[in-house]
Amino acid sequence: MIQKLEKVTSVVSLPKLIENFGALILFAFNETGRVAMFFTSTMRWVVQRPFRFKEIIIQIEFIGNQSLFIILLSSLFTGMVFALQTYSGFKMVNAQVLIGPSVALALMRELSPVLSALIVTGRAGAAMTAQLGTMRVTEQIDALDVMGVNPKQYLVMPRIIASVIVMPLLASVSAFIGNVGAYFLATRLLLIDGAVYMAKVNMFARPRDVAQCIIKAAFFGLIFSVIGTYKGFNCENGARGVGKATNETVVVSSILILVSDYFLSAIIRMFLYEGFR
Amino acid sequence: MSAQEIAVELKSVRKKFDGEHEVLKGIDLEIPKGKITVIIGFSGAGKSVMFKHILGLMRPDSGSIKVFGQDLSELNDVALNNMRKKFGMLFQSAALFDDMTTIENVCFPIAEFKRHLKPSEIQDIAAEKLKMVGLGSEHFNKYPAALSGGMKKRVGLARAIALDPDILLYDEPTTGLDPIITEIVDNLIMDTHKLRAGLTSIIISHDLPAAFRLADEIAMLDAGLIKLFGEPKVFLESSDPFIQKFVSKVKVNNV
Repeated sequence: MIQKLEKVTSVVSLPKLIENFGALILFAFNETGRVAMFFTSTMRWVVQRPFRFKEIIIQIEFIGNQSLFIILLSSLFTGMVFALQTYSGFKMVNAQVLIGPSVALALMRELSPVLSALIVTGRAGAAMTAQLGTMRVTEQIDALDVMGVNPKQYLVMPRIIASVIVMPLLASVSAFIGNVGAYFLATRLLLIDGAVYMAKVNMFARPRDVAQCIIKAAFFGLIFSVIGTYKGFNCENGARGVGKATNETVVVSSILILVSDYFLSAIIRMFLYEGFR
Repeated sequence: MSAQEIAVELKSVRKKFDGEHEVLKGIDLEIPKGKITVIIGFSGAGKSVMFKHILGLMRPDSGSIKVFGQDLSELNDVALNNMRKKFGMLFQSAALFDDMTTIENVCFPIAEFKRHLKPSEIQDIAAEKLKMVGLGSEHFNKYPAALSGGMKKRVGLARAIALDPDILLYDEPTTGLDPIITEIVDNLIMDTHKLRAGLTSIIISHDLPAAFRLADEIAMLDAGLIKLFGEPKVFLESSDPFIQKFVSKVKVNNV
């Protein structure tokens, strides 16, 4: 019992905590460096022949088209529930007509890019890792290398390019459908006048909000595709390793998307809005 | 041996992992062109690492590797990629693309590098290669999951020879196969080698009787060094106790 307690005490002792924290920081820096090198070495192949248009189109179809339904469904209900929840608050100050701009701005600036990215990370990002991871552990990636087909150019680059192209489209569709849902709920169920609703949206929403949606979505697409392909490409230890890598892709990408969202918002605010105030 | 007759030359090749564990400790080896060279050795001796160096998938810490006189260390990534077109490789697991059918697997390298060909011409070449390794058209549209171990090896071999390589590498081609299939694969290796004059075959093998049956030359790798290199009879006549212990199995099998 005493031995157990000593063990527990030593595990949570301050020097040990500092040591673990230091190791974590070092690991994070190392891993960031490796991901950056992986990304730059992949992007060098964009301009090398043969250009991989067919593979990019296949990935656009997989990441974009096959994610569309789930994005439409989740965005529709997100817009509707957002309108419903803000209604009670705005009603207290007799400002129900502000539901429209609130939903529109929230969707375009934050909800659509972030939610779309999280959904696509869970669906396509995880699939990228599982696919590349399986190819790695069954020597299929080595086979490409031996054939003289660069696996980064053939497998990784098309997935990254496709994600960066597709994510702004998905986020834009998500914002549109979310607004449609909110409009119908507000005008049909909450009996807000449609013309007033639209006038208020036009008064507050600006093209820069759409730009924010597109920039964020493209950046989030870059995050989950780079993490997803990196984890899969460097997968080890058979089926267990593939499972672990897939799990890490979803967790790391989701965290990075949420954390980078704040910094991206601050930067965009500085350049597209009224400065950093 | 003149320079023209050497397909692959390794000179003082050293490789360390994690800065400590030295796997290759100064390999010197000249693999002759047009012959079957079998590389034998215990597990962990560095055979696979040596293979990866020959293919340019790994770079040595020191020493040089030349393929047909071209030093791999002088090549950039793109040139190295082009150099690899001279190689065909049969992997231990066959490493077939599992989202492609048998014929698509063989078509893949042809479509990649002979872009001027029409799809029907590519299919014809692939079908011819599959027939060369003894696979009938009834298997062409099957996915790798539906093939037996021996069939996968055949498809892997057909894919390896699809571009008529100058050097064919076999990574433990008979590991995990039953004795009958092993013999079939060995015969296939022999037949494939005879198909084209000047083809160099390099085989990593644990199967000593098969190694002695197939090899023109044998290289024995031990603890990161070439212990002995020569014709099979050199091994059988060697008085070195270590080599005697290794080849005793072959003598028992009366090869």
